[in-house]
Amino acid sequence: MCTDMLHSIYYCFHTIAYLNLYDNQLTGTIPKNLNLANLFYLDIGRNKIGGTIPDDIGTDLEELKFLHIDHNRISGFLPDSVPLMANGRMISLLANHNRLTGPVPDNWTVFNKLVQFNIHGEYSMMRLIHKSLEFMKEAQ
Amino acid sequence: MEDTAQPSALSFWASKDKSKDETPQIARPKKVWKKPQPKGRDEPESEQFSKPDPPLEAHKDQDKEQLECPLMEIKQDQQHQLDPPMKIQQQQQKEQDELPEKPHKSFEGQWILAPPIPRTVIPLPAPPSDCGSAIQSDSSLSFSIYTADQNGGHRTFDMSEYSAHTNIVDSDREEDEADSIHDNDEEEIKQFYSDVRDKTLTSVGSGNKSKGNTSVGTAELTDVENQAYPQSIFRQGSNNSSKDQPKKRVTLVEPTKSWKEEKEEHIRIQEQIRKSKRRQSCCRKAVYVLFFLSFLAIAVGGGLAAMVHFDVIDLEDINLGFLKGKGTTTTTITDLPELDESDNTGDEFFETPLDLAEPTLVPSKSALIPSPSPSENGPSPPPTVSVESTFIKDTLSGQFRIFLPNDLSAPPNRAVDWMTQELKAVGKGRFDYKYDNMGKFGQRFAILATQYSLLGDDPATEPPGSLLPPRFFFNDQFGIDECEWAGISCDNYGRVIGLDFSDLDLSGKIPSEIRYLFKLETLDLSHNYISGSIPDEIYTLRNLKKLYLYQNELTGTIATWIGQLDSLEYLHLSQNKLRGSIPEQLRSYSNSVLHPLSKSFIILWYFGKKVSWYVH
Repeated sequence: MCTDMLHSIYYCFHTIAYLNLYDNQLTGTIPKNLNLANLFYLDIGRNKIGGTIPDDIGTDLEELKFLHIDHNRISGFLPDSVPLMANGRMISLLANHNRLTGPVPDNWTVFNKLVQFNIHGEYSMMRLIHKSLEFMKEAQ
Repeated sequence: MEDTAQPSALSFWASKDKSKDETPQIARPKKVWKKPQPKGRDEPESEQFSKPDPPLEAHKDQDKEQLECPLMEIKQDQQHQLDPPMKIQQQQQKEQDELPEKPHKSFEGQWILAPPIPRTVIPLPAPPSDCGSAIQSDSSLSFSIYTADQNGGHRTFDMSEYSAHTNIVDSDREEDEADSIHDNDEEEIKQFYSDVRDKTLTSVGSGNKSKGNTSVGTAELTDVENQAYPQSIFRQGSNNSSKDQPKKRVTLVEPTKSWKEEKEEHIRIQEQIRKSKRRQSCCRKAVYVLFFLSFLAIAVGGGLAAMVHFDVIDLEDINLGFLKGKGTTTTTITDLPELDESDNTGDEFFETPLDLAEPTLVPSKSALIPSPSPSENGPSPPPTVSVESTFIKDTLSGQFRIFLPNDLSAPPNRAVDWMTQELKAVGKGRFDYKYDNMGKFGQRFAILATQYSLLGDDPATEPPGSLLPPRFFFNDQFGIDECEWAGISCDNYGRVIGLDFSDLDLSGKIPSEIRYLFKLETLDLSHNYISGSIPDEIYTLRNLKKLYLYQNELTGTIATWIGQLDSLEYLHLSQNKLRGSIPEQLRSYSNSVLHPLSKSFIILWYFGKKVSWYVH
């Protein structure tokens, strides 16, 4: 969206690229329509945010490479659009210490450059571990 | 009797073709036509046969039109034969006689015309009274015949759904005849109607007027199709006719004035309207010019305002220059040389700050900074307002609309105090040099107020009775440009674009005076003990790109305006005590303040780049 289209001049000149709200006492949920096309760092860890992760968070936040939502009260599961963030060039995904359940997205292997990956906790880890090992092999 | 009416009736059709050949008047086959009916009042029966032209006025006009009878020329010889339409008419008359008679007085002396339907129906010239027996009718063409008996009862025979037809309803007359021959040409219809209204109908009206049986009505047409035709001579059929006849039929009404008179009147009215329009035209031109000028003024003003808003023109850079001592506002400045004379600082800078502070600063110091323990210093003297502080306050209120609070220990008052001391210390020469730019004046005040506010109530920063400035940016920096202070960065024009007061153990609050740093792009107050909430005045910093307030003790909520800062790119608020929820729309495009003018500039810039790229 913000690559070379003309309309990106309107919308992508100055948008928030770095948003760090770590370690506050924020409540509520993750907004559904973030539409932050320039955002590459989102840290809302160590808050009291509940609710679920929006399904289209991966398509709304195209440039997001750091997603830290750890130490919250987020329930539900990781949506399938999360691995699509930044075209698979996601660097850090922290989702530990939440109330996430359910399986890992099937297309998670598009994480090519993932360095920091932590979604442990109450997550169902079996399949994840299995595939993460594969991923680490591929990455190496 | 019938002769009086029929020529006028049939001259409708005769008037269409303008053949000027005189047709010989031939005695009509009266025996075929005639029915035993009571005679009229006006004319004897013998005149029917011998005299085709009654001495009425209408007939005089129609005598000329009688001559225009093309059909008659063709069918003269055949008239005496029994024509099929004549038979039909006879049959119709018989049927009509058999029907119960209706008392029908509203149709006396009226003509009923049905407006033609242009697609199929058109009346063709019908023979005048003389050639009335020769009615050319085609079985494929539709026509209708209206008959009326003596008492006014009439009957309609419609051969088609819509047809042009004439209806003569006259109780006085025995013969009624209506013929219509159709064609598919629209122009002929119009021509026909123009002829009708020009020639025939007026004569008919006059003829009927002589009898006194006409009912004049205004033109009331419900059908939209009829509006295209002359309306003043038509009227819709009255009550009795509307039951039997379709709505298309209108009643021919005698016009009150002749058509020419009406035309003349119309032309007169039009001329009057034109004249009045001409009179108004000059006024209108003037009004248009005024509108245009006002629009131009508004556009130019709006453009200037937009340029100012988007910093194409910087109000802060405008050199007001009245502080140079030569302007009109010399009331305060003329007092300054006295200060110079007393202080003897002159042009020298930082020569003896302690010496000059002794004689003059003692009363103002006690006034501006109340001593924390008045018991030690005794009763504080009443606050005296020095010339410098008055000047600074007037400038702030006059130029920047900054009004100081009453609390003398408030950060703005402390800032004014500091500036007063600086003014006294540095003197007029230095003062002129530094403060000729009003933008710099306000900026200096804003930075000082921000610093005092961030310092909070830390006693270490302000020992009582001293004029030490905040410790973290300078100790003795009177007269030095604020761009050279610690933690402050400026652009090439001397405007502050960055404040970096991180990790200074500041325990104050973020002041609202920070909004006077218009060009601020970076605000870094991280790693401090700043409490309070994020002030809403930060919203006015439209150029703010980086807002680092992490590791503080900020409370309150994250306001929704934080998503509407157009330039904001880095927002770091971690490790605070913020509550509430994440703003729903961190970026609201609909409320984007990006001005359309700047958008157009951006587009121009974009395409300019593209064009240059293509050119190179």
